[in-house]
Amino acid sequence: MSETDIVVQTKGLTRCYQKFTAVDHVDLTIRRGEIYGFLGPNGAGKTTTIRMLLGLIRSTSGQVKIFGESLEVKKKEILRRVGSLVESPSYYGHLTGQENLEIARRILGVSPSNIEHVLERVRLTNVADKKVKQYSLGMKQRLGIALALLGNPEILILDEPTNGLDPGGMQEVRSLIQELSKEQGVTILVSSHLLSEIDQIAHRVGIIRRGKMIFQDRMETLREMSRPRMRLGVNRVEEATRYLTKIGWSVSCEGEHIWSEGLTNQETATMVETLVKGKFSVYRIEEVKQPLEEIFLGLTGKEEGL
Amino acid sequence: MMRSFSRLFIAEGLKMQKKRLLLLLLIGPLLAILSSLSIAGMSTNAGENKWVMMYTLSVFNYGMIFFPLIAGIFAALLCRYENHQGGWKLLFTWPVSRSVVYFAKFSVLIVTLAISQGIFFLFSVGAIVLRGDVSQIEWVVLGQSIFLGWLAIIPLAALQLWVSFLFKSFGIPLAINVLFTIPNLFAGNSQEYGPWYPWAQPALAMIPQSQVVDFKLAGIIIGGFLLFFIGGWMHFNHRDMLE
Repeated sequence: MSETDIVVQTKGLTRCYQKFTAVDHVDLTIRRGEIYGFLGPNGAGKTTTIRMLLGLIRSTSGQVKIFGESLEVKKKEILRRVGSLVESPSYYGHLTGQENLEIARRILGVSPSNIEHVLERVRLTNVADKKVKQYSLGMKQRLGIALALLGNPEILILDEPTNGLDPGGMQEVRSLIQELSKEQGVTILVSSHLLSEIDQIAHRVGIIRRGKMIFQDRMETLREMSRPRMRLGVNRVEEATRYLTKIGWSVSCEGEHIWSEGLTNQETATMVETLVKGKFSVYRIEEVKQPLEEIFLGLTGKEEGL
Repeated sequence: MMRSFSRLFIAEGLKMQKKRLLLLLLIGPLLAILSSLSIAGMSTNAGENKWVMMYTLSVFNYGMIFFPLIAGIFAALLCRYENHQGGWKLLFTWPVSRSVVYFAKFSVLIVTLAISQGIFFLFSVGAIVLRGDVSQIEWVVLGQSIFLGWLAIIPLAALQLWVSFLFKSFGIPLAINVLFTIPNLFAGNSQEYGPWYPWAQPALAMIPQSQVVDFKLAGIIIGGFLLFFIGGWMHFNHRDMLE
């Protein structure tokens, strides 16, 4: 992977509030064109990290590089190529959707045709002339995304974009994210406190807990952690485990059971045959699948709940 | 720099609810002049300088009360949408420097105050015409009063913009402004303390006089401007946007 493929990179990014460390040496890496899921329980430091990526708050230490340039040095140039929606959407409620976009358009200095384009993209064209304070939460959220898209960004940063939406609205935002990624190759960072929100769309995930990045890898790697395992109930379980290990099986003994991973049907049959030949009684064989959500909860700690 | 300034300046204009604001700008000068008309109506022995007496009365009403209040209200209005609906983070994630955002807001504020002065000027002339004293008007003195009043409110405008940025609530900066406007009636009349009081400075600068420049007042006003403008600007640039 070449250096130019990395569009967002933080090194040792830290933010302290008095004695509390909200973000603790986070190394975050986002590659061009990917959808990066930024996961963690509420209060884990997601929003603080995102605000530092956008220069809304200062870091205590560490650095942020976007498009290979330091955010501190080239903030304006970088922000021109980044669209964002941070927490609740920002808007001018006394103005219409169209007028909100017009203000943004003037500041960004982009063509008026962009407004129609983004309105269509988020399906707000027919309410463009309504005051934003009359919008539903879902419509406000979509206007927020439209504002983020207005400057044709290469990176889109969306902080909890589905927060407060009904299931239909959530689905709509998810498909929009996928469309933008597929059709326009936009790199997208999307944060959530729910794995199920980004499970389906993210290529890579970063999981943050108590300010620390505890997992950052491909979505598949996270899924592999939830591969089904085989649980065998046998008599003399410890002896049976040793017996299998000695002849080359990769098994472990946990409690009253023997556990094994990634067995094919044939391998399962062979293992049972081996045990029977070794004079062990096999009581039952079960396939146990650990849901992805439980892996996530295991990583982030259940007590911090959802 | 200039381009982003003009873009932001226009954007600030687009955000405003112009009809309501114009109404707000009309009320102060109108009330000030009506009340001075009614007071001036009672005395007729002012002789040659009837317009000066009548205008000075208006200046006291307007400069001591309405003009500082208008500065506070507009400063609060300029930060209102950003304070309420997360507009700061929207503004600051666009490719504009915070300084330019600050300069644009400040410029809109002082332009608005210039409009207020223009309205006060028109109303004053109208009132003098009504009383039939129009031939007496010394236009230079009148023009100077209007212009100096505008210059003298700039420190207060900078201070109120800072206060409005500091508090998320719309009411707090207004309350502070009203609270500090009341003592004006005393401080403004004090030779010693008046010039030091930002709320009294506009009225003091507007009192028609032949003497060209009051250097003490001018110095304090320039110093106050630098203090409040640079203070507000630095704070604006360095504040973490947490809301």
